[in-house]
Amino acid sequence: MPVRIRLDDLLHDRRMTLTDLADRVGITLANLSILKTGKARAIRFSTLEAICRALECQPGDLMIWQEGED
Amino acid sequence: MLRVTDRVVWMLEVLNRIFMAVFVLVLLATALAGEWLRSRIGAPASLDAGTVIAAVRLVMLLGLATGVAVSTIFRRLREIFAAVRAGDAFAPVNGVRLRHIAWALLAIQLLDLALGAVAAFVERAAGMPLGWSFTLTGWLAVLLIFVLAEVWTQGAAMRDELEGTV
Repeated sequence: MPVRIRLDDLLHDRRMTLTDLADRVGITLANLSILKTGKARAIRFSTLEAICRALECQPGDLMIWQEGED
Repeated sequence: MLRVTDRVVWMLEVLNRIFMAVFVLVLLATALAGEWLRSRIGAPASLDAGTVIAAVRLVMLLGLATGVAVSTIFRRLREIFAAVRAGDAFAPVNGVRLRHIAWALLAIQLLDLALGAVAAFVERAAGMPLGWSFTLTGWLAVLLIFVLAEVWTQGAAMRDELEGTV
């Protein structure tokens, strides 16, 4: 998918696990895994807001667009 | 509730099959024992026994065709019930099933019109009322189910769009 989610990098920088993030943002681990592995087809603004608040980052830090990736 | 409804529909389907079997038996009787039936029919003077037999055959055939359409409705209904019980009410295939039900209902309405035509002919020839009358309810149901099928299909598409949304 051309839009890549950099959740792994952000979690690593903050020494946080996916489980920790799931607890903080109130999103299921299953859904966060779907997001992390690039299988999500869409993200709600409420989810984006919760992740950015928990990771203290900007939406642009979380997602990058790279042309040509599938 | 759904389980009870499913059982009811199952019993109605059994009843439908029994009726269809009776229609087949009557058809066979007109074919194999036509002469005997002709001699036994107390047809009014204005209507010969042969015409009565032909009318009976036609009505049985219309009944059989109706039974096929009714069976389609019951089968599709039970398939929808199964999908809903499995937690997948808005599977796209349920929109298709509803459309099949609508087409089967339309077939039943058309067969009913044909039955009305036979009844009108017999009434005029025999001079006795048979009690068939046109009702709008079935036709409205056809329209309703087609609309519902379209709504269901769009709902399934909307659900599909949400799939994979976090």
